[in-house]
Formats: sequence, C-alpha cells, structure tokens
Amino acid sequence: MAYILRTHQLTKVYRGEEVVSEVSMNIRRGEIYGFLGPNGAGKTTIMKMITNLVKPSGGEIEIFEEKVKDTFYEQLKRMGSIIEYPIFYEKLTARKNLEIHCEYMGYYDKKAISETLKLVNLVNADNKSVKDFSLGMKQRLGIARAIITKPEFLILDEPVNGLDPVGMHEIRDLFIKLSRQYGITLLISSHNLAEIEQIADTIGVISKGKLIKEASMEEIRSTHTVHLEMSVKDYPKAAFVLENELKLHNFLVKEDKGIIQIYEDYISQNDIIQSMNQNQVEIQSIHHKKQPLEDYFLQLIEGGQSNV
Amino acid sequence: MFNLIKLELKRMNIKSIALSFLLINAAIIGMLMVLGIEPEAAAEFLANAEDIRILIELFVIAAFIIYASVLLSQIIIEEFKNKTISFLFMYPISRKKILLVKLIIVSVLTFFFVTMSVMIVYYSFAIFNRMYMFTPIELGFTLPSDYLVHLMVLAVACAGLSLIPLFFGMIKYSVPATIISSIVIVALLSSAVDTSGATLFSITAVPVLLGIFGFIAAYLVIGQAVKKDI
Repeated sequence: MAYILRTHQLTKVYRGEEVVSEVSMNIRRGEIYGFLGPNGAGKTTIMKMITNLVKPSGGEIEIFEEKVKDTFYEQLKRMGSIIEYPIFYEKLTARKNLEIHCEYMGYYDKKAISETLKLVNLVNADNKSVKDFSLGMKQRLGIARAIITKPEFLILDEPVNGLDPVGMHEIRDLFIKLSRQYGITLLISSHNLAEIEQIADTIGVISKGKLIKEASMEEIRSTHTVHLEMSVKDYPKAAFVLENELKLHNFLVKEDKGIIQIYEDYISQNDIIQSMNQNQVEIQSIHHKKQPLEDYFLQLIEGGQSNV
Repeated sequence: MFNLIKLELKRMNIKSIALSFLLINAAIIGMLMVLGIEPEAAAEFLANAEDIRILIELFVIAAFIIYASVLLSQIIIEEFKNKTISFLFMYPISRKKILLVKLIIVSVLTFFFVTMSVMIVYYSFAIFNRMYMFTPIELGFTLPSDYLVHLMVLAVACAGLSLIPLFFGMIKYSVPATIISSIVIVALLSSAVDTSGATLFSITAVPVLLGIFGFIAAYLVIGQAVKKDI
C-alpha cells in the first residue's frame, strides 16, 4: 500500500522533556487522517516536524517515500499547511498574501487566487488587509493558502478553529471534496472528535506525546466496546449474584445512575435474567449498549495518561 | 536568488524606505547649515574641505548604520517574532538562502545609502555654500580620486558593520536590542580618540575590521537560525 507519510519512532525532546515520544504513524495516499488529542498532546510539534520547522530529536520521517533530511525542502512544494494559527503579512491584502505565497511556491496561475477565494467563501474580502480580518476569515484564508497550489498532501492543524457551526460545516464539505475529487491526502488535527469523526478515514489518537491508537474509523465503529446495561434496585444482591452465581468479574456498579454495566461479552442476556429471577432480584431493564465514540476516545486518552 | 530578492522587496515598503533616505539626507544637510550660525566656533574644528568631508561621512554613516538596524528589525527580527518566518521556512527554498537574501538586501542598501548620501550631502552643501556662505571653506566640485576609493572602502565596511546588531537582536528576537546595539556601535565609533577631534571612524582600519566582524556575525547568525526549531 502506498503511504504518503510514515514516521518511525519519532521523538522530540524540549529541555529534557519528551513532548513527542516514539510516534510511528502511517498515512495512506488519498485518505483523510484525523489526528486527535487534547491540547498539548504533541500534535502541533509532530506537524512541525513533518513540515521541517522543527528538527526531530530521534526517529525518522518518510514523506512521499523519501526520508526527511536536513536538506529537505524540495518536497515542501508538494505540501500545503496551516500550523498552529494562520499567520499572514497583516498589512498586505488577502490577495497580495496569496500572490506572494504562489510566487514563493513557484506556482503561476493567475486564476487560482480568485477560484480558491471562492472555494473557501472569501469573495468580497480579497482587497482588505488581513489585519482587519476576523479569526474565522483568517482561518479561511489560511485554508485558501494551503490549498491554492493544489498540493498532494495537506497538513492542517486545527483548521476549523474560530469558525461558526455553519462555517465548520462548509469547510468540512470542502475537505471531503478535496479528498474525494482531487485525491489530496489530508492530515487534520483536532482536539474535538465531533469535528473529524464524520470525515476521517483513519484516526490517530495521541496523548502526552504518545500515539495510543491508530485505526480506521470503520474498524473503530465496529469494534468499540459494547456492554450490557442492567438497572436494578437491589445492587448488592445483584452484584453478589453476578460474581458468585455467574462468576463474572468485569462489571461496574454505578449507584448514582442506578445501573450495572457488564463488560463480559460471552454472557447472554437470558442467563443473567434467569439467574436474577432465581435469586429474586427484580430487573427493571436490561439492554445492550454501544458506548458513544466520544466516551471511547476519552477513555483511550485517559488511559494513555494514567500509563505515563 | 534574484527572484527571491525581488519577492522580499515586494513585501518591504519601498516608498517609506525612499522617503526615509531623503529625509535623512535633508536632515544632515540641515545640520551642516547650522555651522553657518557661528562661523568662528565652527572654524575651530573645521579647518579645510577634508574636515567637512569627514564630518559628512560621520553623520551619514551614523545615520545609515542605525537605519540598517531598523531594516534588520523589520525584515528579520520581526519575522521571527511574529512567526511569519515559519511560513517562509515552509517554502521549497533552503533556509540559508531565505536569510541570506535578507542580509544581502540590508547590506547592499546600506552600501548604496552611504555612498549616495555622502555625495548628495557634499554636493548639496557645496552648492548651498556658494549661495549662502555657511562656511568660508572652499568646497570644490571635483573630489580627489583617492577620496572616492576611500569612500568605497568605507561603504563596504559599513555594509558589514550594519549587520552586527543582528547578532544581538536575534538572541531574544528583540527589536529594541537590535536598534540599541546599532546606536552603541555608532557612539563608540564616533567617539574621539585624541584631542584633535579624530574619531575611531577616521582610522580606516577600525571600520574595516568591524565590517569584517559584521559579515562573520551574520554568517554565525544564519548558521544558528538554520538549525533552529521554529
């Protein structure tokens, strides 16, 4: 399979502290890779290492099947990016900023500027200087700058920050279009699952500098934990029955919510009902419950943190 | 390389640079005219045309070394401070080249500013002097050829000298540090070394050595910045 980016044991140490440790991530050509993690997890640092702004302390990066070295800059022509927050020459107009960007990138297509501004919905603002832009407009202009040269690989660090819900939706559709129609590979970071859940093909979860999960969205949706949720009045007795009669150990009693969650997947609902009946424990309800993805990721991230 | 210089200039405010150049020249001419207020006092330290030329050089060099530090602040220090440099470093161009272009612009501008200003100020003052007699000293319109060589050497030295403030400014990406260090350099160089009024500037070897030091400092700064995490 063709990978556009692979990192191998990528590590960055700042003043003796490992902010990125041994991250090995793999991004396939053409996919949207959602890079999920709380603030300060190391997402931006990794993206900076990919764009050659920060030098790794250890490990390797391979982009376009080529190892990144000190002299790595030719490949930057094939990449577009927003890192941290969008930075511009504030005194210049949006159009001028894009013009200069294109010239530095060696991209000469005069029509591209108007087309791209239209694509990100910044039509009437192109002759305004950037210092008068709102954060949302800057974010759009940042996206415009990243995509204007039609790169093969887009690296977007929190690209929908500062956009209103309608704007977020628009930009999300744009990302899907870029991926599906133009075949651009996207690496999109976010601290908010909802932002990327719908568009990502693969998700990498990072916490405290470590990549704790990398899997396709499909895989995550189909396998993330399912449990039985039973609500009873007499918890102690129900718990006693589960443990001694059914020999189950992996369950959680949540008294505040009045439920018991059972995580053993081999036990059937019927067995539990039967056994509760035999012991005169009244079951108010019992059903399978899929854990929301949000909870699943929170759990992953918290788990990752407690391991450190 | 040429293209990069063009792009860099595009982002600079050429109009304001040209205006500053003209204003600095006007100010120096104005300062020379003050000599006419008290011709006797002026005569004490200005005996001949050469003395006036040295005074003009001193004013011009002092002004444009400080102005160079302003340019350095604008196109290098502030780019690092505002992180716009991170954008330049993500272009398919080596960092060394990007920074080198900036230094070349400042150096070359300083070289031309110094040579042109010395000429403009000298001839303007010479003309005004014929008309209004600010000083009784005769200022000829033909300059000795060895003077032109001396001026070129001095201007090249200034081109190097003007980069020294970068060394201090880059430590913490500080605009004040850059400009203040340029003022300190000017103050040191224009201080008198003996009772005759000669300054460190007038000993040609001193600015030349410092000019070389400036180019070395710039080389070191680039070497550091190329390796830096942004």
